[in-house]
Amino acid sequence: MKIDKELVVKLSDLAQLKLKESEINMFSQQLTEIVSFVEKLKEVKAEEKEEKKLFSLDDISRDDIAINSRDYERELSLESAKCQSGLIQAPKIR
Amino acid sequence: MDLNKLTITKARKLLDSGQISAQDLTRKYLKVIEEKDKEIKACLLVDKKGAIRQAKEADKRLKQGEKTPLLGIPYLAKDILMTKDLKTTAGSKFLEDYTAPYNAFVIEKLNKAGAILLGKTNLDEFAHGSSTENSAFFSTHNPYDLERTPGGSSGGSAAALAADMCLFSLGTDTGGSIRQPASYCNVIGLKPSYGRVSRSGLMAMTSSTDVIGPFSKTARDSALVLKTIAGHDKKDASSLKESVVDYSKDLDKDVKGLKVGVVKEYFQGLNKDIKELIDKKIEILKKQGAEIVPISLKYSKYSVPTYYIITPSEISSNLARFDGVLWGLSDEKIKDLKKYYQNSRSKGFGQETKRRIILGTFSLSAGYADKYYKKAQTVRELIKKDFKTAFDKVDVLIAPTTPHPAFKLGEQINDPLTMYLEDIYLAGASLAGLAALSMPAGFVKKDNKELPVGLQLIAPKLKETTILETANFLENN
Repeated sequence: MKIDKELVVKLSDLAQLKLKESEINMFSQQLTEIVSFVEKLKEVKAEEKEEKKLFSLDDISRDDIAINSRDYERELSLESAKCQSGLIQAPKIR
Repeated sequence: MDLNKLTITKARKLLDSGQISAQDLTRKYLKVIEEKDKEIKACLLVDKKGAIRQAKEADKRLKQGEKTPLLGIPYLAKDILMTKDLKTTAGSKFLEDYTAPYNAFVIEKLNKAGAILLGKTNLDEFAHGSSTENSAFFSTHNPYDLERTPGGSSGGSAAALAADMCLFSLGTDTGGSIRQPASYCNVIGLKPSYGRVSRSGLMAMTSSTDVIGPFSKTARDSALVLKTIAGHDKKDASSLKESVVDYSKDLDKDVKGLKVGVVKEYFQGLNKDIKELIDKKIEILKKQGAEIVPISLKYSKYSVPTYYIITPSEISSNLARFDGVLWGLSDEKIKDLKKYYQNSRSKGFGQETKRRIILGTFSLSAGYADKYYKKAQTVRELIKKDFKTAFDKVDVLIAPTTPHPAFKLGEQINDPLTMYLEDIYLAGASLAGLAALSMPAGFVKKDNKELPVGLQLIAPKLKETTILETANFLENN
């Protein structure tokens, strides 16, 4: 797949990056090469069970134990006068 | 005292018997750094005052009769590990003036053990790279040939140890960043199993594969450092609760009956000289009673493409926190929030970091995530399964660490794909979360220079003892 300049600009915008024209050209060419290389994975015909395993819990290293989390809303309402609906009003960025 | 031959184990005896003090030892290493680092450029920061202060404290503890393995032992840490009140730059312009407010878990453990932090080592920015050339500050040079790279991303740590600037050093390995530089610098580099060592205080790159591990001169030294830094930490949700074993206890075991798998795919097309060196080691194991078993890892050829989808995806997510608001470089003149983020990130990040963020954003974006990210995660499961099947038959796998010895600085930097292929024998063990180690295999001739290369040992998760025992055996036979 070709990663053209337009796509590089779109992706960099999503990633909060502002690229120079020279970078856009360079990344377009390099990312096209890299993406062509990783497309080698298309050759792999994975069975459905491998895909399902991505969302299964049979390969975990520790028990999944639920614990009580803190009541942030209550804590925040006590600690901050500038708290509304669980949101804190912070100073403006200068 | 020949620092080149000094190991932690030997230094321990000198310190415990009072033949040398921790302060003397520390001063010797600081002097080596002062002399050699002008050329090698392994260190980003040297904390002379702090090191002497820690050495004085270690001497007090030694006088009180304390005998712990790393008490008074000088070390260096990769500059991506947080060190309280010291700069922690991650090799990035973004964090050039950032001082860490707390110690990483491993640094804290080493402090308590009485090890002496001499300073911080150079790395590819945020550990993105295989040569240290992506450091925002300078490239590190290989002590065996100054024109060549020490490898990366933990190149500074490997080069510093190889140049006798410390007795051990810490690195991080996400897809080979400890093992590849260990191979290029003729030292031992241990990648512990995923979850064995807490990453609290490590700046995240690829959260599903990042691990912290030691560089050392012997397998015994690696065992001592690993025992000190391993263990559960509630601040890292992925750290394992399994108890830490004494990795050096049975280190002198022989290899009779050990089943050693030789991965056929890793030897196909391998540099003839490197293959010969590894074949010799396999022969030694065989002669001493190990059973050599041919193994096929049929998905191994997909490990690099899989890794280079998963890793940039996680990088793009992990580095989203660097927006110039909370820490690091910021463009305060800008009033518009989006422009503020963009300017801070664009000025702060280097090219490889930007490349990986954009690639990761692509792999995770709507319309492409199924085709790339989900596909890579599926193949990752097959790679894991490959290793599992192999370890049903054998105890340890033997393989090359790198396809060639250290390359010249500047040789690959403009070709990211070639650079990514440095991880060809390394990424698989990272994706599967296994224990792996690179140890010196010998020297090969290139451009009329004798250059070191490593061999890799891979064991199942939490079987660090197996690779350390095998490495110790090969060191001594």
